[in-house]
Amino acid sequence: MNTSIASAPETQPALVGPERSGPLGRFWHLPSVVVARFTLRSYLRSGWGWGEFVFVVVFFLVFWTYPGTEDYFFSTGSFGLGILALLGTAIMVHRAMSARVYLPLARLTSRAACTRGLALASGVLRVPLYLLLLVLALASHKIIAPQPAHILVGSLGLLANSILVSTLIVALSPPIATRLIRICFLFWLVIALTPLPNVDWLAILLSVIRLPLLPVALCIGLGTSPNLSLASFWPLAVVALLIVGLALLADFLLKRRDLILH
Amino acid sequence: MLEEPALPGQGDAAIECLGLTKVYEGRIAALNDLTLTVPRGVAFGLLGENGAGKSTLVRLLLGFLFPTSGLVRVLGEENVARAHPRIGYVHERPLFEPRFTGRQYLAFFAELSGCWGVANRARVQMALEQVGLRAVADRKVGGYSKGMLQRLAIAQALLADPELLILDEVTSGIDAGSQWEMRRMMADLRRQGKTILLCSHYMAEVESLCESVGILRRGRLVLSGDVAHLLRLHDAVEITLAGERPASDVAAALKLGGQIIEARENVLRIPAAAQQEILAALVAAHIPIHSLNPLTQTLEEVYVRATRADEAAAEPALS
Repeated sequence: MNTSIASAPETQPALVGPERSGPLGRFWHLPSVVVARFTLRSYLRSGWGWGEFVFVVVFFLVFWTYPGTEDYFFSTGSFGLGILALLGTAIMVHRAMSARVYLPLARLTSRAACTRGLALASGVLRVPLYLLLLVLALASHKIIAPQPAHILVGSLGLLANSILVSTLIVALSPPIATRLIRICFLFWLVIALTPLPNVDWLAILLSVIRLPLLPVALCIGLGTSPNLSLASFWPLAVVALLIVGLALLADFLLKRRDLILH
Repeated sequence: MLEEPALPGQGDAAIECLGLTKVYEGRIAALNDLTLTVPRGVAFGLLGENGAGKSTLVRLLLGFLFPTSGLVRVLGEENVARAHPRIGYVHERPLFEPRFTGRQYLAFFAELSGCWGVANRARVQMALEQVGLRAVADRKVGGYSKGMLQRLAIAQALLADPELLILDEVTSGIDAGSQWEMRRMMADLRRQGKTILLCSHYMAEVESLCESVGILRRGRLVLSGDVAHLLRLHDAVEITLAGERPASDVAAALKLGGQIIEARENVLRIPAAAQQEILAALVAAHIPIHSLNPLTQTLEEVYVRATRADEAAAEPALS
């Protein structure tokens, strides 16, 4: 079995553009970035993208009837934007990974450009959605005594979690992951979210199983940590590593799949 | 396989498949031990009924699927993805986002090929002119007719000036005028020396555009070779007998059974290659001949003959 579409690394094809373009220009025209830009434009033009912005406004109107603390903002915001990242990314990937993807894939030397482009598009979309929620909350004074430093750090934590969810959905979506992988993931999630039992050894086992959720939980509380130091940012670094790991996992999974798309 | 005449220039092949087998989950063998070579610069037609394995073969050639066993080499690359920048692919259905204009779509594909800035705009304009879509380039793709969509698909395939074009049923479902236009474009590309793999249900289209042809049936290549050679191979002669005696009786009396294609009423249809021998036998037996007409076969007849022969060969095995 020697045929492989994706075993080659994502390399920039021989450029036929303005010679004076710098590193930023080259980055802008990387295949994965081109795929991400096109996916985002397509998603917005289809109306689904704007639907996500409407969701944020409705979510804000429902959950911020009265002003709340920073803690409430980040915990509720994480929940809402996490759900939105899940739904929005699932729709985006479903639209993008139809038979339409055959034509771009027939041009690319690596399937990785597709998975990375999708992860990038979905991740980038989380930023304006979060900013919309933040602007709505600040403009209508729905955060009690907001501290700029807390807001800044908390925003990083919330965004990291949202991007983690969107990258996870890209990696788990068909045709990237198999049904078995999705079932295994859901099985792990159910076990990880089970309340700790009274039996000691079982509680220890469950604590180990839910370990990957620890940095996620810490990121949610990052904005309301009383004593911020450089060491407080480790959950952000771990979540960033998880995002990169999931993107690489998506590459790995897709390059081994037979693509029978409709 | 009935016949497989050697294809010219096998050392310089655009497409090589060796013992290619693809078995889908559920153990459905879509391709079975397929060996095929398409030389560079040749237009190769791939014929077959629905489910014969044409789309599977195209997907294997583009690396969308992985072979269960066997080897695929496209433009000299076993890792076919490396050949992608040199391949232009047109899918059987126009797969475009309706909310983009034709120009925006082509710009995206050109950018994926590493062409951007001024060069991107120039390349897109050139492709639009090549397929005659310049006037509607800034209209949304959703408003295009199916013929225009197929021309747009050809334009995206031509953007990177590919060496190999894989055209999967590009004229299916479009009106006769658009079909004619598409065939004219394909003929132009052929004249430019591009290697073309054309999957089609239209025999006349393949016969007029392609030098070589392969006929797939149930995942096996039942016939392949040079179109002109295959047509000649099956050339026939129709002999109309002058007497009252039925042609089948004459064939039986002269023991011509093995050489006769068909004996009906007073007409004997024989292979052109056996003409002299049979005529000699008829003359020797004093059987009067009314007329003799050479019959040139069409690719459609070659196709039907090949698939029926394969079917007949498969039946005893199945029973």
